Amino acid sequence: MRAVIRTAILADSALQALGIADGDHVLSGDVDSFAVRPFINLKWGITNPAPFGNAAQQTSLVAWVHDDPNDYERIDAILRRLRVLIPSLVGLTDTNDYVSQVAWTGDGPDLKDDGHRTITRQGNYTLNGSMR
Amino acid sequence: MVVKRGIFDFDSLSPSLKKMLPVIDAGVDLAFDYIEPRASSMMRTNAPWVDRTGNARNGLFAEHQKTPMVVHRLVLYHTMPYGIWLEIRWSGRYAVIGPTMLEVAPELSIVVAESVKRAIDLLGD
Repeated sequence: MRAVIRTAILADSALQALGIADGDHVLSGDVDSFAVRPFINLKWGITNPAPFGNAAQQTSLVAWVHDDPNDYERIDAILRRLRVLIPSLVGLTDTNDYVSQVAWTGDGPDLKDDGHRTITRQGNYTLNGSMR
Repeated sequence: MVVKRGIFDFDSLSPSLKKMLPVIDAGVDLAFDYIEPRASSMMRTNAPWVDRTGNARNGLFAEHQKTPMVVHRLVLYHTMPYGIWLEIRWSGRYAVIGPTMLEVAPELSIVVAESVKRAIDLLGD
């Protein structure tokens, strides 16, 4: 699911208009590289095995959306767009990857990240699908 | 001639439900008490940082808070004042509470279901 979701975020014109212009704005858990603001850091949680022998596995995704210290308006807009985009990926597949179910489980509070020197909020999701 | 009417109300459901609530609550209580030390231990084992003093790791706790028959809560928390920054800094690089909650929640729901079922089964015996 990592690849499918990252690719979809990068290809989304609404997110591009909000400043998520290319790969420098979307990280996959990397916290050591400098990312261009605003940016999204996709952090995947533990993967649970599929119940009853089903193929799809269950996992969680936290999308940390960061921006330069200002107000949270652009972060909110990006989170709103992710809330529409990520659930719309159900049924999407590529050679090795697919997403079969997505549930938005809430957005986090207004926070400051003193490591990145940014303001940030998180969007939380639970997903079923392939996790390689 | 006066005709008298009356209604007899046979309610066998409510008394059984009244008996059931404390039993269900006891089942939930037992499940939360079981998970509480497990969550503490998971956090201390999985905290993704290298210890300097050990204070942050030893300051991780889980607590079962309850109002009997109303609400049961499992609260995970840091006791070091900088705990908040471990959770947030660098997109949660050293976060332990959020990831542990995601791990504990499905397990808790299974334990609650089993514990309540066992309590109800015992009531039926």
